[in-house]
Amino acid sequence: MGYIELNVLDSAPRRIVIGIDLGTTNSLAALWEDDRPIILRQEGTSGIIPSVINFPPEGPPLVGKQARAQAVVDPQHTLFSVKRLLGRGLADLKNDLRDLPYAITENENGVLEIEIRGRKYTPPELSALILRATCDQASAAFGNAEIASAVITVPAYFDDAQRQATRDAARLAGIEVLRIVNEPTAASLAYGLDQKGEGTVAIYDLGGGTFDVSILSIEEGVFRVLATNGDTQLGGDDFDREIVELIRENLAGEVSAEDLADPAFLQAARLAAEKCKIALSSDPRHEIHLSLPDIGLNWRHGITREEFEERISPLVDRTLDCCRRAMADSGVQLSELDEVVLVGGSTRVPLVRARTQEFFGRPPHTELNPDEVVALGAAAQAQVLMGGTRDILLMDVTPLSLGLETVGGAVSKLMERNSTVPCSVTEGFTTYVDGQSGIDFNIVQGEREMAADCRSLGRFNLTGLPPMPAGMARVAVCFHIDANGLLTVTAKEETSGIKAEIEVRPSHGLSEEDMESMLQAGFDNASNDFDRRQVADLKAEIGTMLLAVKKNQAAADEMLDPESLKDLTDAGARASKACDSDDLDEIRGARDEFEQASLPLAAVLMDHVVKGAIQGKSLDDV
Amino acid sequence: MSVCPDCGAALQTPLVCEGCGALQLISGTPSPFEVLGLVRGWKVDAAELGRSLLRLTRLTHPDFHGVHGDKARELAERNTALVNGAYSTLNDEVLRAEWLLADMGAPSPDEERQMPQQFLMEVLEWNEVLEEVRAEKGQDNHSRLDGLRTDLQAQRATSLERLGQRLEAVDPGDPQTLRQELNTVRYLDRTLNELDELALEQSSTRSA
Repeated sequence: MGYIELNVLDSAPRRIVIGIDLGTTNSLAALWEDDRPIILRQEGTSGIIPSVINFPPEGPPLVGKQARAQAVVDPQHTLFSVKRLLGRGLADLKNDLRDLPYAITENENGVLEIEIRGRKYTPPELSALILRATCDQASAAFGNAEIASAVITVPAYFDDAQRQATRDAARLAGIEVLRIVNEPTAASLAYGLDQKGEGTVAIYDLGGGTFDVSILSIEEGVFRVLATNGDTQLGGDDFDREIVELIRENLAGEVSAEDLADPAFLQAARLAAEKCKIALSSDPRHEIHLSLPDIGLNWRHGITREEFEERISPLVDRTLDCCRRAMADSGVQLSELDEVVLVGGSTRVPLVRARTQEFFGRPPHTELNPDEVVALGAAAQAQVLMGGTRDILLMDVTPLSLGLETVGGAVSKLMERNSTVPCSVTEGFTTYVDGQSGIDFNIVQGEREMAADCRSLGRFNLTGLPPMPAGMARVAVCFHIDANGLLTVTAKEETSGIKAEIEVRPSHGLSEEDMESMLQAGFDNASNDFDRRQVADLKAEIGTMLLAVKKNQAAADEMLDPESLKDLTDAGARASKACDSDDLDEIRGARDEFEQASLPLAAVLMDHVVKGAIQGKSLDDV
Repeated sequence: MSVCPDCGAALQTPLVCEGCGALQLISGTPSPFEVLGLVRGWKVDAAELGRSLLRLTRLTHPDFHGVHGDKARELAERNTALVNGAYSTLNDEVLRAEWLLADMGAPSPDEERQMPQQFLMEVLEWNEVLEEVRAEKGQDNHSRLDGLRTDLQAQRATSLERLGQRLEAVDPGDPQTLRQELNTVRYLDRTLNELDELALEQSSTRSA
């Protein structure tokens, strides 16, 4: 018996794996399709989602453009740059806190909490909202396909706590993280694939809130990071802040100090500053216009590019110090570099281009879109991880040295910065007191000699040692940094063979209980989530059906009676329109109607296929 | 030499079968030379070392084993960490020498701290130069630092060559002497690091 495969109107939603650039200012998703990475965007849009969240008085939080539009009218409930808060404590935020129009506190676990409309949110919860919105939009841009998992990028100079917080955010957003990849490394991948570039390359990545520089060698598909350096609290936001300062200085005589600290004023000034910065990339002068009727302010003031450059020059210098260190660590001479690639929106600033060109002694490579290149690279890496190709190999490094605090408060180094990951080291420990049953250590990351000057990742607490005389216990503790740059610690008592229990208490991370309760809070909204899930599935189905109809449009035009054709076209349009809403009943209704209207098409197609297949053949041949 | 339990091919490295690509479960602690499939000894060919690193990483890296489940990924993490660890030990002359010394039972840096009086005097002199440059902040001391650097690098090369000759010899001689020679290199490295750090501070655009 013959068998005819009928794949006429297959409506199973596609599952895709995407790359996400979770940025300080903007977020973006990309997908590997037809042998190259593409940005996922809905027609007529850039695909870029502003990393902004607004909490309206009622209903779910807004993310992206809609949230950004609320910044001036509702400054106290609009959050920018939450990425700068990931994995940090209050003490880390000296500069950032001043300009924030909302209250930030630290809970007993050292995790920041931002209070909005009477509810406290941790940075991973906020980032989760942005990740979710990015995924939803990516899904909508690709026929409402289901996002199976994702590669998420982080600044190369992110420490363990910041990486953990990013992973927690993804988990809270319900996204399976395939890999955490460093932004400049992802960018190098996109550059290497796009330009067929080989040799020794410097990636200078200045984003909205973070700066990284990585020196890589690219050879026959091997992208090997030789050294990386950076500053996770330095970016275009700081350029904006300089202009805000300038505005404040100029207004000091005219406006009261109280009004200058007013949230509405601050947000308006921030947005005006950002606009000014962007304008000054192409114009020599820009006029700032601030209109705030509430405080009787209607102010115009011209700022020249020179003025702006003078203010930001020390910040650009800081990035060049990082470059100098990265070059020194890489062992590569400036003259041996083949290419300098600029990444991140802030590299559009002319002073940044001029100073990097001067430092590296060659014009930088700027052909790639600095906003998109990281997401594109992440999508390429997602393809590798899905078993797509072995021709590409990323060898990345850990940005910071790892150490333990010794009795005197100094650091005993376990792993050097710029060690290729994954890497591990096993260290032997013993007891100092007879019958001692536990050992307690402070794990730090950083380059300074004293533990207090480094960043504490947390304390690990080794318990369950069998009673033994002092110095007899032999505990082997293994510190492993995985391909994501994340640390895990395991321990074993060697004389007794007892696996000692080890507990790491993160200094600025969510504990497993925190995560559980946040996920639980998610389940409490389960019916809500279930509806959302159904809405997503239905949209995916409609997307696939629309594609199938489009593919068979010619056949439909030719073979359907006019009435059925009109029904089909109308139902398709209504279904497509229904996807703009999130109303379950409306979408389900539209899907059912569309399905009904597509039956005649399915029938004629099937008839056609069957006829074609059996033409000139006896039944026995079929 | 052991064989791969999956395909029976002889294993060139204990980590992975280069015939069928199966990751191997490691027991014990293989030497960095065993891990990378190189001949044990002081002399290591840099190009061969690099090729070995890439060849093995292409087989063991977790990027290529994630789709095969958590167990495979963990094994890939562990074995790639071994490759990376072995590479960094052998790629660095001091770490390579440390490994060879430890392997022949020579005293560790903590066990043998004695250095000749004359050498310690020299160390004091280098430190004085660094102190002076530090004190004269803002002045251009690059030529002075460069002079000291050239000097120290030459001494380091001589020391390492002497050490290498001994390690290559049939009878490497007294382990104490080997230790002292390697300690000399460590002292030099510490000073060279400080010097580089100082030079970076001096050329930092911020202090200018």
